[in-house]
Amino acid sequence: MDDAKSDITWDGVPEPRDAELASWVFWHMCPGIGPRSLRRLLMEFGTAAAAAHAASRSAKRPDFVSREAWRIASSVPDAVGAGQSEIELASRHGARVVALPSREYPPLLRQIYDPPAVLYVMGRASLADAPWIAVVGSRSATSYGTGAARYLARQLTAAGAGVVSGMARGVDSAAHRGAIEAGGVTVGVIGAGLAYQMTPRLQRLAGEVAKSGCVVSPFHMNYPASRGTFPARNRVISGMAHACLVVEAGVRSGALVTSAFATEQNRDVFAVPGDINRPTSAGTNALIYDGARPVIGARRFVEELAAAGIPVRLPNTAGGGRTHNLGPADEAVFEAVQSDTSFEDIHLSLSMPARDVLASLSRLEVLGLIVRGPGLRYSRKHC
Amino acid sequence: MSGLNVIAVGTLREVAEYLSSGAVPRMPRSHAALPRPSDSIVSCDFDQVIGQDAAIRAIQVAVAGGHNLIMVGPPGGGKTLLASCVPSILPAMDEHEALEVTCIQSITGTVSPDGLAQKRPFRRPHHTVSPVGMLGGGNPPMPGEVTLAHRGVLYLDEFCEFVPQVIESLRGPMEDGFIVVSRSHGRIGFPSRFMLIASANPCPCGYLGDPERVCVCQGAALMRYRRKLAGPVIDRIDIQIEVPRVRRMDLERPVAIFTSDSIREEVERARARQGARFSQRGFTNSAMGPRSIESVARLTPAARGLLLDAVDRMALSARAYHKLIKVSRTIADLDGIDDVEEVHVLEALQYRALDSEPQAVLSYG
Repeated sequence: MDDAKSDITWDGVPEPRDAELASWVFWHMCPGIGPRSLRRLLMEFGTAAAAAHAASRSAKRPDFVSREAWRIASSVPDAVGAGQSEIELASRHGARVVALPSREYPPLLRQIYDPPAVLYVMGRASLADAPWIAVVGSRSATSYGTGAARYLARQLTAAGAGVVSGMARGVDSAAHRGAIEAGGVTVGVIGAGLAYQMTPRLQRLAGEVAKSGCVVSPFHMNYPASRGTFPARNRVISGMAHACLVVEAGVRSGALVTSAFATEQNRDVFAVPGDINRPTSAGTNALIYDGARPVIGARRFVEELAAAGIPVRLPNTAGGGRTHNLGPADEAVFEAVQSDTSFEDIHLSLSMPARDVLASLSRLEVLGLIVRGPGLRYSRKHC
Repeated sequence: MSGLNVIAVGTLREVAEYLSSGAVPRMPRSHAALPRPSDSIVSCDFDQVIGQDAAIRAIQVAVAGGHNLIMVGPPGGGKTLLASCVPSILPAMDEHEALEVTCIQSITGTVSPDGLAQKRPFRRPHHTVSPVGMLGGGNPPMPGEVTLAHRGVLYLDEFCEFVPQVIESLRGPMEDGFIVVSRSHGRIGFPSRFMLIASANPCPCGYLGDPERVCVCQGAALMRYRRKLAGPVIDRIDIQIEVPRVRRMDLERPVAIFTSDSIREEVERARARQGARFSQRGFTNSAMGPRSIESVARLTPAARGLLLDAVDRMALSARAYHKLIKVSRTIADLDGIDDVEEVHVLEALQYRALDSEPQAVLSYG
């Protein structure tokens, strides 16, 4: 990093409380004031509250603040009150405000070039706890992508990592779901305010994610979604994670934006390889060609994360903990089921009548060894 | 037609002669001796279907127990072909059923010149059908599709494209086995004991969950569509299966070939067992009420334990639980076994694609 980028550090900024936190929220809501401007305001005026007070008295504009931004800031008569009512609005929605110096703020995110000064967080989990891994991918995913995302999210959970993703359709949803299924924590970052209208699908997923993990937004509560908000969201996803995994992405997928941020933020990028003639894997394959590390199996993936110094624990011997006594037919079917295996493939590989295969699949499902996905496809349940 | 003594007379004089002397003028020509219309009319045979062994098995179970069936899958999976093969495995009608079907045909003027109907009806109304077309009505009231499908199959292709009111209106006839058409000049009851077969794409574009093709459906449209795959009518469909797209590889390497005749033989045997059990003609497992289920199904302790496990693990509703027992009973009947065993319950568990799947689908969608 060059000097211009490293000149700003957040070390030593005390955690804002009460009126000071409200002032932080006020400056965060103020258009034209980014995190770096806020940091310089803090240096200039000492506290955010003092800066807001100065603006309301129409004090001399610091030269790093644009004229427009200063005008807007000075037009608000009660900055602290505005921030306070935003905090109240958040708590009415079951959300809390986490400022950058707070202990709960993701430590890795604090180190990126322009971390959001304030995060709006809804849900039980603490953002500082888990070693986060970003799992992202295309909205228009095939069942290969959703299956891989779900599977790898489960594995990451088993390894003690948390899954962070973007709550979108396709790969993102599958990643969140895999983490939830495995009983882990997951963070969903959305590209709009938490109180901004959500589609029924998003609302439902947000409810599920918030139950065990949390939903995070770098925008104030009613901030509308737009083209520009999604890159900002992606920056938070890659910024708070130790590593970024792209599961399935076409050449123009937004997931590639996330991985580009991850590279810029000096995070390891992993990608799941796919068929060379499948358009939805063209982006991930290109990432691998350009130097991203291919994920060829969950265990190797976790091992590589551990080798990179990320605090994950390796799962003990794969499958060794199985205690069920399976009959020979069930055993054969279980062997045939891998990840996202179609019924036809299972059936073809065994010389058994269809009905016996179906019965075995049910038994394995009831025993919790496999799960069934859409399209008559089955996967092993690894956790 | 047995049980009827037909005396053919040409003139009133012959009537008088018969009544006074009992002299039968001449014997009527019997239609019963006509050969059964050749099976070439039965359009499709299951030996034409390749690579859908699981679906064929599910259809066999459905027909054996008179269960309603829905097939969900992408275009090109062969749902329509599978459905059009169903008539070839329907059990033969007894005389009473044939008479009912012929009566209905006579109302609509479609009685075949060969006498009583031989084949069970297979009705395939288009999805633009109106409520009146489906249930019956008009002036004078005429039977609708539910009645024309009496004792046979009502096939609804593109189930989600039907007008919601039409689908909802099926609920009454499905439960009661008859439909009353009320009009200003009176009320007419029509029978409507049919087996419902429905087919639907998993999403508007058809490629949801496909391993190779991308589903292009937007969230809201997908939700709207999937909502149609839930509701009172779907709830009453015992067997819900997915029919995935067939890959070329599978077309070249069929695992097994089933012929309709061999499937039908097993179906007939299973139907005979049900008829003996309920000592009522034409009564199938699907018509069991919740009360009779427990006494009739006769689960072994192991099967019951497994069923309860499954209920816990998969969070099944009471209705889903009863459906499972009914379908398990039918599978045991196909095997010719008196008690429902574990393996029958296990197979039945596979036939509930829509009970278990929507959550996963909606969140991926």
